[in-house]
Amino acid sequence: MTYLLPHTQLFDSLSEPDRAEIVHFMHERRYESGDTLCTRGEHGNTMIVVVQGALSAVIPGGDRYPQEIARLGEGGVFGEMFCIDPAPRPATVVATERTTILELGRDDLVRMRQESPRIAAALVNAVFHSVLRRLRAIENRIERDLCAELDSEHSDGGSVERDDTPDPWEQCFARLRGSA
Amino acid sequence: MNERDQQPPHECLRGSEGRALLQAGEPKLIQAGDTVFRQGERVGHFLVLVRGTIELSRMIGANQVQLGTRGAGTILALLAALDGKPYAVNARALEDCSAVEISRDALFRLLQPEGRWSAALASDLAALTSRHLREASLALSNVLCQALRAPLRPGRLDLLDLARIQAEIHAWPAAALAA
Repeated sequence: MTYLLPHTQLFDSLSEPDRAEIVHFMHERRYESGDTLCTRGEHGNTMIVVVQGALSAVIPGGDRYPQEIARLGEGGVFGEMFCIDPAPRPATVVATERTTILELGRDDLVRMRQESPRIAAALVNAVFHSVLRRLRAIENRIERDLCAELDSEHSDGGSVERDDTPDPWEQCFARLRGSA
Repeated sequence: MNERDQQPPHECLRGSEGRALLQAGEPKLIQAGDTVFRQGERVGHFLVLVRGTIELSRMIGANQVQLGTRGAGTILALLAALDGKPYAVNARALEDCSAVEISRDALFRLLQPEGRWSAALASDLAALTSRHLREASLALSNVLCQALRAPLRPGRLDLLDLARIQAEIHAWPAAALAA
């Protein structure tokens, strides 16, 4: 395979040689338009990177018709948590055109940890970072909702201080990039 | 599905990487009544509670609201320690407690890709974070659905439920670390 992982937020902390090395542990898969990659509720233990084409993630809508919740094009990544923490897939993912993906499974990650431990560590760190960001996004959402509800009740506040302090993880990953 | 896929929730950090994490910190004794973390405080470290009970609370408007207690094995303030944002709840010792205090820098050192425990530790922490992310997402969507269906005040969110989800995000059970 001659693919290189895309410059997405997930892979940004990895050097180009590291991203090329990771591809050796991934599996190329091709789908025709309309093919289903995974179904909502089924066990998932792989991360998927779109090399070419497009995917649509759908969940059942209120009227039982599928409702699209995300669309992924070239370079899109989904399910990065699943190769570390397998779980039921939250959505059905369908190819909307002829699509090629790279897939990394839990067993591939285990093999990577044995054969290329430094690169595996860099990738897992990147996934950890990504999941932390999402958890913080949920926490921010809760804090906003709490403040909005309190405002609407004409309460006298009590909200937690917020600011735009630089993310120390960014500094950490900048250091990792420098040392790679 | 292989054996590792069936790992039960919160059983991460059971191996050498969990011990390495604890060894990277400093033991800390906390007296009953002491405040461990304050709502709005910025922290450069997180705590693993080894013994004792911590009570979580936060201000909602002018009221101090209790959000439950946590026991040995709880990881407190990891998210706030790592991203530098203020801690969102108060944590106070209900009895004499012992804990391990781990600095952000010590964790970053352990996570350096060249480090012996980097992949195992990052993997366990990512799995723990991922489970809390899924639980928080589900809990939040339940609160939103309940609000939409509420007969008396449709659309209004239950503040206590929201604060409880927030407390879950800031105090994680990781039972293996209590052993």
